[in-house]
Order: sequence, then structure tokens, then C-alpha cells
Amino acid sequence: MTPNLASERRRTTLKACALPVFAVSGLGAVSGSARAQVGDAARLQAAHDAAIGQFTGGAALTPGPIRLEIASLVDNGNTVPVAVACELATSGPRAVQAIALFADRNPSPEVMEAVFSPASGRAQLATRMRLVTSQTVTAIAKLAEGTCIATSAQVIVTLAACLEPEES
Amino acid sequence: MFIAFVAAFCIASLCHAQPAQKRSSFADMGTSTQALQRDDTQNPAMLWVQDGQRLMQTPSVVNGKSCAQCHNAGASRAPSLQAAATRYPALDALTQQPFTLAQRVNACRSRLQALPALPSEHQDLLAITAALGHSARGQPITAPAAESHKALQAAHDLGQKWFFTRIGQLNLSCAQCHDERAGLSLGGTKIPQGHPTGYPIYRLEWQGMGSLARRIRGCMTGVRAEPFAHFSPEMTALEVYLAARATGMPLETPAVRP
Amino acid sequence: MTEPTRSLIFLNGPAKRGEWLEVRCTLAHPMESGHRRGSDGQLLPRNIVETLVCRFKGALIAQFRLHAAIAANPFVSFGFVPQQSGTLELRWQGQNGFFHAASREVVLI
Repeated sequence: MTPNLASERRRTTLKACALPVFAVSGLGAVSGSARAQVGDAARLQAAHDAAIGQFTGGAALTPGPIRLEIASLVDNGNTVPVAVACELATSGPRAVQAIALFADRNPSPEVMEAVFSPASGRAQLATRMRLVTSQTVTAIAKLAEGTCIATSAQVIVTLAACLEPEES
Repeated sequence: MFIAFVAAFCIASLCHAQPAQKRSSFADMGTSTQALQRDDTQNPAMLWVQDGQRLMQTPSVVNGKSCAQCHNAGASRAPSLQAAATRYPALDALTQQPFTLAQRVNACRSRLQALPALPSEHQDLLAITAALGHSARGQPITAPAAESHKALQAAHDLGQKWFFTRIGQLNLSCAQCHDERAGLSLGGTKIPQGHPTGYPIYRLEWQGMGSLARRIRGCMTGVRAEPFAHFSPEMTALEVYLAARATGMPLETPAVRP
Repeated sequence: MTEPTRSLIFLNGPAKRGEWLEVRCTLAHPMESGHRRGSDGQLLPRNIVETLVCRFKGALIAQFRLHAAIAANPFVSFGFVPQQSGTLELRWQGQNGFFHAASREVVLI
């Protein structure tokens, strides 16, 4: 497993987030900054569920030996390290064929799909993703037998204190 | 009595002590961001470091000279660049003015390689300064002392003056955040002491590399001030002061920052 | 020596026959999401890398489908089990005809 990606800090309160000193719109449009409008929650949820259904082929998501490692409070939503590991092999009847990541409040829910082969050895991957706002990230492993195992994590994304214009 | 008190307060404010314990903002990042910086196999800035190493080997298209030809270990023509990044800003002998590392690279390009100087945020310039910093990583910042030359002293004093001067519509000085309130929270972020230990940095907010000057310009815009121009005397002066303020801290280049 | 650096490939660990070996790769690419606006207020068009395919000695190891939610300068870590020494090949493809290939020799110890 890629080291140092486990970051399960549990911060139950974020008093600092209640002090939007510079983070409010007084600084004007965040032109060029990587912030999309957070759209209608219901529409995003529907798109998210549809994307998952597309990947799973309709199979139900069940708990299983799959681990998702992601910080619970990120430094910056532009680049969030994430790792997924599934204890099952990549060959045999219960082989992991593919792993996919989804985010339920991003403008588009899909993040990545990985398709493995027997030579992969382990159903394990790491990458860096974007999160536009606090939301739930879900990792799903699709097995050769047709079942899907899944796990989720809640991630908090805060705005930078000072928003810069798009220039250098 | 009252005047004496005001005078003492003003003097105290002007001579406000630097943070007692110098601390890099690396410590304030989440563990996964720290991991990005610590591990060259994960640090996105390594794209620039590797490119910088390539560029330093590449002969000039005009006169065929490369950095490596003069600066390779064993070459007597120019000093080794191994720890050069820790010794800037420094005096340029020709102009008798302080140069940042980027200004030095540009001066070498134009004077010795017959190549044009690069803008501050040009990817090649960031790559070269990233490669230079990477080779000196872990070594203490030891820019020449201000006292060593009157131009360095003047730049240090000018930079220090700017550091303590309120600017912008928000009427804030660097010192008010980075000396007086370092460690407190601004929004969801901890205010750093603001030491330039890791530049050029891969900043997650920029989704790319940037120089110290770019970061300073971002801060100045943040307090709604007209930012210093790249390579301006004010910008160089501020970098001279910041390097003095960070003396002894280990270089972290290429750092990753939120 | 004059090709700009477009990607980095690291093998994280010694390469041993029959043992899982981690590959870490980074590609220089902005992964423009299509949701950002430029300083003129207009949306910057989406321009992302869409696939990464990994082969070892010509055989397919893994393939990845990347979406706009993958961060700029996309990083992927995965692994494989080498049985022989050989060449690991990575190919990235994306919008606007983007294509980049890189390889790394894997020498079993």
C-alpha cells in the first residue's frame, strides 16, 4: 500500500470554518479557481446513483474486504490522495475484475475505473482526485462472480483562506 | 509619560521579534500532503526537477553552452551548483545588486548562453530552480549576510520595511499575520510563519509549480494591494529579507503546499 | 536528452520473481476539468487524459479510465507480479489527440 495515505483524523468540530474572514465572496468572482458551482443535491445524487449502476450492472453493493484510504479533512480539494485496496486476488472465481471510485457531490460522479488482470496480483490502486466540496467518496470492487463489494468515506473540504485570481 | 509609552510601543512594534522557534508550514499540513512532499516517487514537482536537470545539460541553441559545461564537478570555471540554492539571494558582481536564484539563472542565460531571460513563472525557469533546490535539499539556508555588502544591507532593510508596512485595502502587513499571528487560524487554514524554505513549490491551489514571487503576489492581492512586479527591486528586497529571516532552516525544495 | 519530461515512472521496491511490485507513475497534464472559468469569465474547455494502459512484455496488466475528477498531473499507483525481466510500457491517451508513451525496464533481482 502506498505509505502515509491513511489519515483518519476525526475532527468533530471545525470552529475555524465558522470564521469566513476572507473566504466569503467579498473578494469577487473566483475566476479560474477550481471551484464549480455545487449543484442541486438531488440531481447530483441521481447522477451518482446512475453512474454506480452503470458500473455494477445493477448488482447490489455489499460490504466486503475493501479498504478506502482518504483524509477526512483535506488540505485542498484540488488534489486529494486516495487509495483503495481489496484483499481478494485478481485471479480465480472470486477475482476482482475492476475497481471504481465515485464522489457524490462533484459535478460528475465518476472518478476512475481500473480494470485488472491476473498478472495484477493485487486489486490495489492509489491516485489523486478532486473534490469540489465536502462529500462522500465510494469505492466499489466488481468481482468475477458478478457481485460488488463497496465502502465509503466522508471527506470534509474547506475553502482556502485567501482566494487568488487566475494569474501568476 | 504617555509619550514615552507610545514611543516604547511604536519601537516595540517596529522591532517586533521574529517567531521564537522557526517552523516550516510543512508541519501544518495533513499527513497525506506531507507524504507527497516527502516521497520523490509521489511528489508531482519531480516532473519539474527532472526537466530542470535535463535543461541544465542542454546546450544553448545559440552558442552551444550548457550549465553543466561550466558547473560540473571538477570544472574549474564556475562553482559547483550542489548547494547553490541555499546561498541566494546573493550579490551579483557585475551589477553590484542582489539577485534571487531565478535572477541569477536568467543572468547566466543571457550573459553566457546568449539565451533570452525567462519570465518568473516560465516552466523552464521553475524547472531549473526546482532542480537546483532539490540538489541542495536538507541543507540549511545560508544566504549571504546583509552586512557583507551595502547593496545587500539596503535590500535587507527595504525588505524588512515592507514586511512591517501595512498595505492594501485590508491594511495588513506581512508581520501582522506571519509574525504576530502565526499558528492562529484564518478560515480553515493555519497561518504559517511564511519562510521560503521550499520554493519553487508545487501548490495544490495552483495545480502546478510556482515561485516565491508568485506566492507573495498572491498574498498582496489577497489584502487588496497592488502586488510587486516580478523581479522588481521591492520583490527582490523582500526575498532578501525573508531569506535572512529563515537563516538556518533546512531547504525543502521542491515543497508541496496546499 | 532534449525531450521535455512528460512522465515519471517509479518502481517502488525490488523486483523479485513472483512477488508483487508497485508501479507509481505521474504524467504532466493539466487535466482541465471543464468546470473552471478563465479570467474572462468563460468556461475553460474540458481537456483531460482519459485512459492509461499498462503492459508488461506486451501483455496487458491493467487499464484505467480517468475522469475530470482526477487531479492535474495525474498520478496512478498500481502493481503487478513479474515472472521474468522485461519492459513495462505505459500509454496515456486523452482529448484533443493527446498521446504519451513511456517505458521502464524491469530487471528481476
